[in-house]
Amino acid sequence: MILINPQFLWLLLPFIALCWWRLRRTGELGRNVSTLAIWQQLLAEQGQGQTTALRIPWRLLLELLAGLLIILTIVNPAYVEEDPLLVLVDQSGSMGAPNRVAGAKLRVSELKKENRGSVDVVFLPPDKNGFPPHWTQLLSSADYRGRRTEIVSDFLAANVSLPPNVGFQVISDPVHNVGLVKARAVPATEGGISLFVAIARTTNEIGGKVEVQILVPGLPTPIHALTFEGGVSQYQQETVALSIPQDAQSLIIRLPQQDDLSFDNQMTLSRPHPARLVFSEPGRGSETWQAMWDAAAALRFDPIMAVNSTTTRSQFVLSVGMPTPSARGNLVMAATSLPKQVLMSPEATTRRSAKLNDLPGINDWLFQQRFQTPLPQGFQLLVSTQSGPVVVKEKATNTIFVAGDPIKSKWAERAFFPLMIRALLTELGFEGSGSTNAWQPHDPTSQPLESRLNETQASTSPQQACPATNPSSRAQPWGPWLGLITCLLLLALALDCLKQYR
Amino acid sequence: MSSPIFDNEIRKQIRAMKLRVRKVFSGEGGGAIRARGLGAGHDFHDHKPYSEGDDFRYIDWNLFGRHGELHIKRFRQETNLEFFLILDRSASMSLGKPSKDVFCRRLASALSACFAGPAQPVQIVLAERGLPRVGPQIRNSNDLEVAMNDLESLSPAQGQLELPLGDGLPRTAQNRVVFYLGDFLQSGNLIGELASLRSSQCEVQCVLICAEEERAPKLHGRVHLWDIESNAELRLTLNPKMLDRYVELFEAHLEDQQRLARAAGLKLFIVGSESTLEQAIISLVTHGGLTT
Repeated sequence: MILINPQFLWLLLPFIALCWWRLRRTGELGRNVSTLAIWQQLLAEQGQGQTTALRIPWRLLLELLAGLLIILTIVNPAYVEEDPLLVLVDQSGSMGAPNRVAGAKLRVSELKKENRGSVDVVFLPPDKNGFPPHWTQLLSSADYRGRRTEIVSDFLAANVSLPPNVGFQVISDPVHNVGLVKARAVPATEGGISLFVAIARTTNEIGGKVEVQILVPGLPTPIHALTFEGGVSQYQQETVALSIPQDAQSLIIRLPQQDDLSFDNQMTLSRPHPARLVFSEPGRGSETWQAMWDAAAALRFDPIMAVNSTTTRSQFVLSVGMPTPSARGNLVMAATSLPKQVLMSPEATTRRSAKLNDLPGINDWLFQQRFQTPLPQGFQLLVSTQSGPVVVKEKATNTIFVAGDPIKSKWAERAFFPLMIRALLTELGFEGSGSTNAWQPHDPTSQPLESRLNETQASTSPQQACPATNPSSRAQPWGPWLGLITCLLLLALALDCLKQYR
Repeated sequence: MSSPIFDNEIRKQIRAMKLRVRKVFSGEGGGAIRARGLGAGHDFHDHKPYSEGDDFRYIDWNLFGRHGELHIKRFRQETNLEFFLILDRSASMSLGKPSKDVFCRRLASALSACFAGPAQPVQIVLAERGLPRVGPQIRNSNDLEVAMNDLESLSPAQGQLELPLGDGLPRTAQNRVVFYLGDFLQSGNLIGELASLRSSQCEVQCVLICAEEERAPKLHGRVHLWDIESNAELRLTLNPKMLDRYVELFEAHLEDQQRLARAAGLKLFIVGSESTLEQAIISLVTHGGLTT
């Protein structure tokens, strides 16, 4: 609440004096009499007038109210509606460390408490190169350029102290649908890096030990070996700290060739610029998504959630937060039989496509459709989209942008992303849901990294986004409404005066 | 700051007032004033020839020595008399310029000065909400000063008069004169209540005090009237014809009060709050019968 014309507050002084004078004259507004019975008798003879039991100087009160409203109209109070604070949460790989996750959550909670207005949170998954995503493009698409912005990040991706031109390569056999190996570079506290390596398996049929070797090109022996025990679990992961020679140009993560073990992609960890550690995956877009998935796991959220429970053997009704009306794309659904275990058999998988723009009555956040497809009992429905960007608005207070790569992988658990984000938002006290967007990250090698960094920092730095005058604030003055009420009140008083002296 | 009720001029004027009660009351046992009939008194009345059974102590021996006949001296009966001044303290008494309440207090002080004496006490009774409050006896000028100071320190009249009044008066066998000073505008049978106090030993006189704004209000146009006691509100639009009619109705009201008082055997005097104390006292003396 601000006053647009506070210089007219001095009018309150004569107004208070006027109130005092009018209140002193209250007794003169009417006349105290002791012969009311005679007056009533006179009225009975004349046939006019009315008596009431209350003695409330309504006219005086209305006059004083009109005076106060006049002053308020001149002073013109206004309600200042501040633009929502935009919080950018870096979800790049280095933020996956538990203490940083906790710190990020605490910082977001603090920002939400400090800002009584709405707070928008953008979770920024890393792009396929491990960068935080292209913030400028994301903010521009959300019309957020130049507004208040807070960045929750460790900023380590840009400052990791690695020797220049060190690249990582993850080499595996291109046998699909069996497992995944993934490596992430996490800056170590004492120099060098830590490698986060995970192997995902989906079946029990693979047993025995799997050894992952980490090699430095030019050295005959691995500098480190990770041994993964075979089993039924989906993931095994191990974090190792490596001391990388200063003259090393790349690292190789090698998995042994086995007939029953294969990997769905080949990831290359490269660092083309001294200031940036990059995950490079030229051929596929799933690395970004997988990094998000790991970040969610690090946040200790259970990603297995049902979107809708009104499922029978014959039909189910789907209700899920969906893209804006301008979004186009297909709805991807998958069904699981058990939590954390994805059934990819044709009998259990349902895919439907629906053009959202063609649905009548669709609003900008809720999509509901009835499907006649029978689903096995006990199955949980997993929903995601292949399009975006998704802007989910809830009650016009908290606007949540959740960014992510399009889902192109056949890994059905990636469809849990909206649900995971929903759980994350719930824990942080927001309302809303998440989905993926169609943001296409730029190829880091396609443009000079310096210009990209400058562009990113220039558009998202808190100092520039929060000018001292806060021009993004929008004042909604009450003066016109107060003036209207005052005019009506004065009109009523004038009519009353005319009626009295007629 | 309002002017004091009893300024020096009024105090001086009140102190100078003195009246002698000439009305003869019945009674016996001695006292300060002459009573109706003959008996044990101090004022000689006449002689009567001695007859058998007369008290020897009243034989006028001087007359027997000169004329050789026995005569009995007869004396006038004497009795005591006390005054009660009941003051209406209802909120309606606060109207008028000066207010009826102020005039009532001044008039009570003047009556106290007129009638108070060593053997003729005057007590002021404040009739307000609840039981009437009886003040101390006024027998001399010092008591009068105290009473005037007490009356001056009273808060403005407020509330409504509650009946009956007689329960608050002291019960004595002496002759008494009760003055009721009020506007007679309250609901209830006040005159009947005052009439119940009247007896062979109690004289009740009523002083109806009215204000000029009640007799001839200066109002015009659309007015809001609030009853000062009940807070009931009345809205009306006045014209001169209606005002004339109001004056007629108010005079009729006064006449009704006089007629009712007369029917109840009471004497009622109408005094305006704007009139002087001398005018009010002269009206009482002229028509009250106490001093004639």
